[in-house]
Formats: sequence, C-alpha cells, structure tokens
Amino acid sequence: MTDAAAGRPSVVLIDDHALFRSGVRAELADRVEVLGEAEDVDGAVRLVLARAPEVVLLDVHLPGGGGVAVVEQVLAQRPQQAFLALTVSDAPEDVIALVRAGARGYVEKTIQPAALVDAIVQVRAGEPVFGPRLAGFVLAAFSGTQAAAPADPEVDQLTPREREVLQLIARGYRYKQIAQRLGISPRTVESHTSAVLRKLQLTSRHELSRWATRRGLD
Amino acid sequence: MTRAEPAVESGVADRTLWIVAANLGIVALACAQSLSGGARLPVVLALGVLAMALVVLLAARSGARAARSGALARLLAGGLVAAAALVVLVLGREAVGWRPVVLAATAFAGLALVLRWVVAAVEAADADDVPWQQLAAGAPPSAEPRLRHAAGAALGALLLLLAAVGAARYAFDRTDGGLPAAGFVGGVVIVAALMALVAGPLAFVARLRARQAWAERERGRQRQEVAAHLHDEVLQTLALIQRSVEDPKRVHHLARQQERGLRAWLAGRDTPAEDSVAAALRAVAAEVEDETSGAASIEVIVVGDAALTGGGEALAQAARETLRNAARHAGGLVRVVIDPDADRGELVVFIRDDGPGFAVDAVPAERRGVRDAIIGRMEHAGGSASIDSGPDGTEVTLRVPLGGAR
Repeated sequence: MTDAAAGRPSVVLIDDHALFRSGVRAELADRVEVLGEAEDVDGAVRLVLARAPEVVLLDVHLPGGGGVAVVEQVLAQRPQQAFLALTVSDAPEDVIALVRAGARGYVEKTIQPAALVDAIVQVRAGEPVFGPRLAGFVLAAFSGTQAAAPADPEVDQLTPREREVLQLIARGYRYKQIAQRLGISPRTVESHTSAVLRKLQLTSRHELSRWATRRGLD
Repeated sequence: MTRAEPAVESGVADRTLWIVAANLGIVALACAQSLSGGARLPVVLALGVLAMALVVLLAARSGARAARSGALARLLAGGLVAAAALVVLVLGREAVGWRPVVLAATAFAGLALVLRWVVAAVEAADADDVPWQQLAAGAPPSAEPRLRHAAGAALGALLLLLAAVGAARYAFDRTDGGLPAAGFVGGVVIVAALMALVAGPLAFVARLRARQAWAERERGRQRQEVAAHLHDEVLQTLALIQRSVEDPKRVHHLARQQERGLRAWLAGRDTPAEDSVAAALRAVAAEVEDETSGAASIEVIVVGDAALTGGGEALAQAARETLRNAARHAGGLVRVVIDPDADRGELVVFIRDDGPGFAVDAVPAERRGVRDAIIGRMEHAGGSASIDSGPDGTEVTLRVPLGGAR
C-alpha cells in the first residue's frame, strides 16, 4: 500500500481448478501481473509469503482447510496482505466466513474481466469490494442478531444508515447513485461499507455461529 | 473406499466358524473330563478362554481388513483347529477312553455344519433387498453356495442325531441305566455354556456384517442418486450446448439454466414444497428466464423470508409481470431483493434493472400490464407497488403486509 498503488496490480491465484486459473490468467493477462498460482492451503500460504502480491484472489473451497485457513495463516505473518474472495459458492456461510477471516471483498466467478480488474484495484487501495450479494448476506446475518439483546450494540448491530447503504447496494445501485439518493458524498458511502466490514470482522463468533446454525435449519 | 469382494466375505464367515468349532472341541474335552472327574479341567478351561479371545479378535480384524489379514487368519485358524484336535485326542482318550471322544467329534462336526448354514442364511437375509438396492450394493449372492450350505446342514443334523443317540447309549452303559442327578445338572450347564460360546461370536460377527452391508448400500445409493442427477440434468445440458455452438445466446441460456438447477439441487431446494416467498420468487425468476430465452439473468437476493400467504401469492404474480417487463424492455441483469421491513410490518420486494427506463405516466391506458397486473393486484392484496424509472434503470417496489414472517 505504499508506492505500489499505481500501475498493474500484482496478484496470485488460489483455486483448486486449473481450468479456472488458466481462464482468469488469460483474461487478466494484460491488465494484471499474475505472480503465481496455488491449488491448496499449504502451497497458497508459501506462495503468498514468498511473492508478496498486492492482492490474493482466493477461492472459498480449497483442499487442506479452505480459503479461511489461507487468510488466517497469512495474516498471522503479513497482517497487511489484501485478499479478494472469488468464488462460485453462493452459500452465505462460506462467503461471510472468508470476509470475517479478513478478506476485503467478494466477487462471483461469473464476473466480467473488466469488473474483476476494478475490484482488484479497489482492494489494493484498501477499500472493501461490497457487491450486491455480499450486501444481502451481511444484511441477513445482522438481521438475525437484531432482535436479540446485542452483547455489544457498537459491534453487533448496524446503524440505520449502514442498513440503508447495504440495502441500496443489494438492489444494485452504484456508490455514486447511492450517494445521490442519500444526499451524502461517495466517500461517506465507502466509509459506511468499511465500517460494516470492520463490524463483521469484530462480531462475536457466538452471534454469527448462531446465525449460521439458524440458516442451516431453515 | 473399495468394496470387499463377496468371496472374501464368505471366507470370513467360514474362518470364524472353524474357530468356533475348534473352541467347542476344547470345551467339549472339558465337559468330558468334568463328567469323568478328571483333574486337568483348569488347564483346558484356560485354553478355551484363550481360543474365545482369538475368535473375537479375528472376527473384528476380519471385518475391518478382510482382504489383507486373510492368509494370516486362515493359518491361525488352521493351527488352532489342529491343536484342538490333538488336545482332544490325547487328553480325551487318556481321561475317558475313545468312545466319548469320537462322539464329541461327531457332534461338533455336525454343529459346525449347521452353524455354517445359519450364518449363510443370515447373510442372505441381509442382502435381501429390493432389486435396485442390490444393484447399488453389488452383485446379488448366487444360489449355488446356498444349496451347498443347506446340504451341509442336513449332513450336520444327521451327525448330531447320531452323536445324541451314541451319547445316550454311552451314558446308559456307564451308569447302568441310572444317570445321577448331579451329572444331569452339570450336563445342562455345560450345554448352556456351549450355546453361549457359539452364539456370542456369531451375534458379534452378524452385527458387524449387517452394519457394513448397510453402509455399503447407503454409499451405493448416494452414488447412484448423484449419477442419475448428473446424467439426467448436466449431461443432457452439455449435449445441448455442444449442439448450439453457433447460437451464443442459447449457450448462455442453457449454461445459466443448468447452473440454477445445480445450485438448487446442491442446496437441497429441488423439492416442490415451495411455501415461502423466496421459493416462489425463485421459481418465478426461473420461469421468466426460460420464457424469454435468457434475455435477462435474474438474481434473487434473500435478506429475509416469509411464509407464502394470500398476499405473498399476489406478490409472486406481480413480480412475474414485473420481471417479464424487465426482461422484455431492459434485459441484462435483473436483481430481486426480498427484504422484510419489521418496523412497518411489511415484506418488501425490490426488482431492479439497469435498462433505459420509461416514463410511467406515458404508458397508454390500454396497456393494462403495469396498472392491472402489478399495481392493481398489489393493492387488492392490501399492499402497494411503486415504480421508479430513470435513465439509470427501473426499480419496482412491491410491498405486502408481513404475515407469518420467519
């Protein structure tokens, strides 16, 4: 996040499907510098620590413990490492778990190459990538904790404004459109999403696991 | 997980039976000795207990790794049988003479044959399932060994009968017609002990085998279910895609359709019980995607769900009309967000496209779709509909009172 904030972002691809890795590599070739690929947790941790890419593109499901294990092991040694979850999984539990572990955003594998490059640049700049789906998942996660008496209202609840922002994101509005609708600056919209991300990463394990259990029973 | 071969399985049963038989031989010797007042009873009993432990150990091992421990177990069992026979011959003759030894040997051979048949029958009962389960669990057991076992059992029964007659005759000779009461009680106790010794390991092995067989069948069933699904759904779609290469729109639609189906199947949502608003709207989204041949990709995001009541059904129908309009006039990606608004007691559905938009007031009165099918229908159900259209796209907001929210 120092002088590297310009030019082609450097990334590594962590995914257990070789076909998918080569596809992404080909799509991004001229806009992103791909430093390497890995297909399991151990290989990924070694690769990331050795090559120090600006952004790690990471799948949820990996042999050896999943994407969450990669995030946890890398962050223990390189706390500033940026991760972007790139997955076909549409299970909220999977995505939320990865974001909670420290990923700064989540995009679906069907994303268009240009949008993926935008997301990579955004994550490199330290901003969250909050797509409609992630917003929906987060709203669902926090709506589960809303009714019960929260242990720590600062962390366990969303403010009405944050809810509003997330709802608009879920409905497919872009930051600029949201800012217009709410009469705030795009910068403020971003600070709301960052705050939500922070809350998510701080929310007590207990609350979220209860939410996950409830979803599992639904 | 490889499946154990049937041949190995029946080998396990045979081996176990021979061990049981050897065990019985030793116990029989103990009986003979106790009847004749011999002094070596403790030694023989200890041997019996040892053999018993071996039986259980081998049964457990053979269940887990039948194929690998096969040779070793057979060797052990053979050695045990030989040793038992030797012990019976030497000690038995020394203690009671030839006659009871021969009688006991006949009885045990008969017993072993009968038990072999019993175990085979139990296994056959295990495998007796409906045909497709047998198909999933492997080849059905052939009838030939069953016949062989039954013939063996008949011979065994004959041997047992002979032994019983011989034993009665022997007892009559030895006691001059009057069997002492103590000897009779001892005999009953010994027979009961014998039966327990036979039944224990047999029950253990039978349970182990039944559990293994069940797990195998279950695995087979799941494999078959997955295979059937992949075949019916995914392979068909892939074939269609290969035949549609010159039509990218159709390829995209087919891929999208298959993706939707597979996701629903993975999430266990392919059951027809669509009693929630989210399930109903997912179905409506799929329907509209299909009827417009993939002009729109409709993504449903569920923040919260509610039971499908009367209002919910009106909601689903209004949503269908809205989605049809969006697919027809905007196309591309259409987002549906289901979000309960607890404060206002409403279930809210947002449907948004990023097409060119239209002027709501400019829709001519004779085009009733928007007015009747969307707004009118929602108001009739006690809810409301509003349309917000501009150059960035169109968003339709549908609201119904929240009934039975989850």
